[in-house]
Amino acid sequence: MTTLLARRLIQLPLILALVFVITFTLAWLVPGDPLQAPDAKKPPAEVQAAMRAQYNLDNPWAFAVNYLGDALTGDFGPSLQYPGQRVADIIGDALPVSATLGVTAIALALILGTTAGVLGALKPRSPLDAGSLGVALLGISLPSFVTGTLLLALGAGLTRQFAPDLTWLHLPLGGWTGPANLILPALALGLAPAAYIARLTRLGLADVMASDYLRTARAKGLSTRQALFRHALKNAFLPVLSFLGPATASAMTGSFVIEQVFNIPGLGEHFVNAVRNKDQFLLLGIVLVYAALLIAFNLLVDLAYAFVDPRISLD
Amino acid sequence: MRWAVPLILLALLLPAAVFNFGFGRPLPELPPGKTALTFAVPSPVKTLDPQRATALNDFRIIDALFEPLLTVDPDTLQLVPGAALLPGVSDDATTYTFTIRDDARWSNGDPVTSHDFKHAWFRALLPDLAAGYSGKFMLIKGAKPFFEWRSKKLEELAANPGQGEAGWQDTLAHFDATVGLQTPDDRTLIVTLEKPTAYFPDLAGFGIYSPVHSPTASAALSIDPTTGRVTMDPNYFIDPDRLISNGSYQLTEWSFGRRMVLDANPHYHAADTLGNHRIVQHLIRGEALSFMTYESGDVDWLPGLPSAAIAAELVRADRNDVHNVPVAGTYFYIFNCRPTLADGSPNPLADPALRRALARSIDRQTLVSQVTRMDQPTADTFIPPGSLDGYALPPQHAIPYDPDAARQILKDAGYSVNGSPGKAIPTLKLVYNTGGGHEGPALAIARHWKQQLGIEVTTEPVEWNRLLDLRDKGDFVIARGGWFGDYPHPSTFLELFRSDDGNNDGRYVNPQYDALLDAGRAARDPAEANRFYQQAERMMLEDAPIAPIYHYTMLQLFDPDRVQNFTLNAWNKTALHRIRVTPE
Repeated sequence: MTTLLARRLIQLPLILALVFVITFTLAWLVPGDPLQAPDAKKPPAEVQAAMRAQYNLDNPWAFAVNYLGDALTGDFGPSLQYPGQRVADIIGDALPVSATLGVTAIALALILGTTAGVLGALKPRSPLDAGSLGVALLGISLPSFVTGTLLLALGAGLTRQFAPDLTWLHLPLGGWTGPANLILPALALGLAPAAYIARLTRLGLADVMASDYLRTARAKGLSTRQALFRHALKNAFLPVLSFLGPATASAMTGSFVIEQVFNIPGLGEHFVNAVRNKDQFLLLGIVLVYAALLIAFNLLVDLAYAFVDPRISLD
Repeated sequence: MRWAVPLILLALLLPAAVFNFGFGRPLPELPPGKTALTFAVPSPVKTLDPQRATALNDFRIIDALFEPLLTVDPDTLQLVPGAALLPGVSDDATTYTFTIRDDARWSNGDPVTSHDFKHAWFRALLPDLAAGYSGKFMLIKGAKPFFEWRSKKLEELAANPGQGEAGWQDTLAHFDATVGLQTPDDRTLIVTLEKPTAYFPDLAGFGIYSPVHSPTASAALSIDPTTGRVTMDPNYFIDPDRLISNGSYQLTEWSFGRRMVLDANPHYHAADTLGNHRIVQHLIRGEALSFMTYESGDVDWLPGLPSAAIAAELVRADRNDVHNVPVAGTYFYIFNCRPTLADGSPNPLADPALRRALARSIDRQTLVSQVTRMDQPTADTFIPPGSLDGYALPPQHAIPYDPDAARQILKDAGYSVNGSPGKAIPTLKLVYNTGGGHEGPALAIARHWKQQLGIEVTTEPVEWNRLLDLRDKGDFVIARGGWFGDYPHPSTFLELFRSDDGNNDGRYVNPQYDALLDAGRAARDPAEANRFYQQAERMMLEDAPIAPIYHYTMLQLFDPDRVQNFTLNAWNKTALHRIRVTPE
């Protein structure tokens, strides 16, 4: 365990450095000028040169050295598209939003997914199993902008239209001011992982239920239900666990589409716009945060493996 | 194990909980009996620094926070006194003397002084802080040399660390000695220009010329010890406790990516004329969502709904809250006028006859009614008719849709048209940017050209940044373009085609045209100036470095019974302070 932790902690800066180099190179090669205003009015040449010099955009080496120096002290530089905003502030403001939404969505996905998976596994090839498979297929195939827009139209649009007086029923039209804002987007964001989890649980359970040790357990007199909950679920959960790490990281760092549909001030929008507008500081900042989170969650998953399956040794 | 996953998830929420899950604060209480104007925009304000702003979205707020020397009356579009009275002008239109009004106050009660303007404009001319519109200050005497002097100085300072402070003192002294801004007393500002420029007052009424509260703004500057560069504490224009403004409103809250709240500036000289105590600007990203929010009554006003899907339906709906307002901007195609293309091959469009014919073969009416479906005014000229008081190009000089004339132009120039003998016209390429609904017009126009002139035009969609890059390098034959005027004056449009203008992407070079612009710039009588500008526009349209297509419109939604005193004009001069929301 300590060895694993130590190994990962040593890897962390190396991986981050690699991510930095790749992102930096790509961000530099993307065509376009981050300081170019979107209404496309070009300043005179001497002004353009001065603008680039302000941010070392005329010299990739100076930029990289300065950036790294500042980033080590927690300063991720200014945003190029939003002069005056600091990248650290933008991320600090948007990350709690995305994290709250992401964690809620994953929790929702876990509850929905495992329930559907277990129900399906309890009665294989029953209408219940077919139903959960059907819902899971829908969840996997429907892109989130469709589910998001549908949920918004159903939960916030139709209720207003058909029950204008029942204001307690009106879910908010997007935004991010209180827990009521969580319901629809978390559902929309959690649906796809829920579907994956349902299938993973269902398939895992089917495998485990057919294994020798479970046959033994049931021969000793355990009911299907007892065998399933006491022994099978734990082992069938392993594939779900490995799915959960990256899924949580990606849900927590924001979904551009869901944030756009529900007008949520999260990280996803900044990520996409940073690429689009070649906002190198913001892009590097978000990618580094994302990479760090991804590494952290994979580590968490590895640790969780050991708890779930004692056969796995971490050393 | 049973509790491990829920516990981990809960633990993950802990850091977010420290930030209240990012939910933000509730709106501060509105004083009793006061009203608020609430509206929604699709993209965040980039900056409130008047000298750094370039986006229309930002100027809407900056115009409410800061008051320049002069302002534009939203009804008449005439310049009226702002923080200063109308200026005295020297006979040669090079020296302007402004007197600050004696009741002009900052939101902290300090009087507005001439030094506040000088410091603001100094910031705009510091290469250390250079921004998109710094160039707009270079018509002030000595401004451009100063900018270049300081740029050179910065290179020296970077080579000799530790000289930053001395270099800064030199710079302040150099600015005072060489740039044409004098402040003989706290209320007088004398501006000397490089060349006679009769439209300088129009510029002085543009948001970038707004003042900043010089004692606090200059204290927010600091010198980087290694490079010697001056940087501005970015927090100054973000923190409501620090930002001091002289306009009708002051900043109360800015939650980046969420909303902005302005409240009445109690020290504003016309504070009693404000229509509402508060302005709340929400950021709503999706267009469908902002429309639903508007329909539900949560916002009073939507200042622009660009998406064709909803917008085209709304334009055709019989609703008194839909206002499709023509604005001072034109959508056009740029023709490359360079003798050769970027790859060295001869440029077919170097021949003005071919450009002239192409510009006359776009069926603009069909385009706006069936392709964009927004019923924009079709553009037979470059400057949108009616957008400028007293300026109109006589109709005989416009370039209407006239395919017969276009074919005749081609035949006269010796080209083969639909099989007639003559030079063959090679296939032309049109580049446009993806997104924003530019594909429909591009395909339609390529078809018009094929049908009317028999010219093959291929279309190529590229990313927006790529398009800017191609245009900048002149690596195109025909490219999509557009232009919005900054201040109500012909020069804001026509200077675009000055031979050496940085935005003249087609590289239209015509010394006669430049001379007409110079004459217009120097003419003190507006009618005389307009005559020069009309000649210039006519000459440019005839040479056709662009094919104008339509003049932009902005779809505004507000209920005129609820939101009153709203002035719709072409210049985004909404005059937020005059709007009156009827209390519920």
